[in-house]
Amino acid sequence: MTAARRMALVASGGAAGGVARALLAVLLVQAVEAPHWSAPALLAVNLSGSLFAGFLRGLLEREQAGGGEGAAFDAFLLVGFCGGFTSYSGFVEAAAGGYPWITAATLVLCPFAALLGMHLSGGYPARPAGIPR
Amino acid sequence: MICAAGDIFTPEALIVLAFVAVGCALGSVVRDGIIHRFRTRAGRADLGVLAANLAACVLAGGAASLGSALHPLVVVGFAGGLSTWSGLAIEVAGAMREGRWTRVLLHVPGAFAIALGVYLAARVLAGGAA
Repeated sequence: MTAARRMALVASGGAAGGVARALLAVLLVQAVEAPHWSAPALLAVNLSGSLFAGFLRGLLEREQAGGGEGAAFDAFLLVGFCGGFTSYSGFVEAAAGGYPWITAATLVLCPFAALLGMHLSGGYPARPAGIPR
Repeated sequence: MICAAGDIFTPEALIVLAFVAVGCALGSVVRDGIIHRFRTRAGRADLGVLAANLAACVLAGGAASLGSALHPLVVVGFAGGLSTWSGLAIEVAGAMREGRWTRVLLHVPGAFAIALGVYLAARVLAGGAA
């Protein structure tokens, strides 16, 4: 894949992910009719994005193990969409404004969500063979 | 808040969403470039994710005092696209699978403490409240 094509795929995926994040945050706040729910909405975004990214990463591993490349899939969905959908700076901004439980939940649950996604896609074993603990 | 609840599909809100889309597209491309550079030069994509996230936190803190017109483009869009939780979660999940607990500690509590520090410092330097 050329660098320009990868850049276009990452940019379009990132734009879609950013808009989805913004819309989901507003819609969740609207659904519960409570403006202070923007931090819990960001937790939902980061958790679901981490789960989806883990699932995609597992699929990508399977594709590559089968001899496929999956570069477009990686650029648009994983790096672009999931990367743009989730936000670490937004999480830190919310943490600086308070929300200790949301902060702790995000820190603990997002890595496990990604791990769960990897297992759900069936692409990752529990631990890769040959790597010592 | 990006736009008021109930006003999502007004022309003004669509312009705000367009700013978010442009900012996030640019931020995502820059993030991919940073991670690629760390992966090829140091063999550590996880450090690229860390660098992109810290840069985004500096930017978000520094831009905290920006007017509402630029906030969707710079903070929600560009900084949001430059930083990533999903990329970090995948790196941490990979480190957990491989039993690299020092790396897990670096990227979860360690990175958060540094990111919060640089965010607050940037906000103070930019003239906002800590």
